[in-house]
Amino acid sequence: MARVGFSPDSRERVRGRLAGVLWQGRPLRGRDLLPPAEVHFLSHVVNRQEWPAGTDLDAYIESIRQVIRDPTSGVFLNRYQGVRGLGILRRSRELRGPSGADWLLVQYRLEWGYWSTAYQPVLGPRQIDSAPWSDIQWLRRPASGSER
Amino acid sequence: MATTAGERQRALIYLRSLELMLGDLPEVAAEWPTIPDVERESWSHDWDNEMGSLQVLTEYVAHGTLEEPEARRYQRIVETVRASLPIIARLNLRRPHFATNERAS
Repeated sequence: MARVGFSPDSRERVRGRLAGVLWQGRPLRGRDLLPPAEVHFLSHVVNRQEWPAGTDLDAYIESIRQVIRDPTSGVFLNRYQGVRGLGILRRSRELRGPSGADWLLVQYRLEWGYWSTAYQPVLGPRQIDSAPWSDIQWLRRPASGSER
Repeated sequence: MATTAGERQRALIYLRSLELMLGDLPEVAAEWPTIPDVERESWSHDWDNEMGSLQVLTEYVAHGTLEEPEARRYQRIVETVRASLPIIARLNLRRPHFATNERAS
């Protein structure tokens, strides 16, 4: 799971929220299509500053791998909008940026075999307490050392 | 109440991010049935976190953390989200905390 990453063959529309962001030497347009890894990086690292300043795309991806491999991370089965997934939840610690949160959440969609998101949930563990999250089944709770 | 530089920066980022996401909502809603699964789930997760940000901003407003211009932007966001509740329900997106409370009461 740590190795797979975001879907390499898919494309997501940039839309207004990323329009104007400078990426690979030019400002993005709303109709542009980018790989999911780049959209997530631009949304969470560049726009929302959830990761430390200076984090580049490779470092963002590597940080997600690090959290997935971390034995202190919590692991839970879930449904998101009714679709089965596997979630990873850990304290963000050294990965928390200027506008980051205390926790970092990774969702892996089982039917695809790829990550579907990785961000720092403002509400922490409460993020998964209500719809569209459901059927939460903890396989491993976050270790006590990573909870506080 | 004293506001730290970090809280102010966070509030400004949350406000801008919410405004941008809400700006995209009508287009996303119109295209929803044809948007690829990958983008639909990705966008939904980001919406999830925006609703978390809205909840934090509500706490900032309650504690007087936001300056007047930011408080006005917050109110416009709340009004837009409230007007968008039917779309939010149709797309099975996370409901804002105030709507959840209203439903429960």
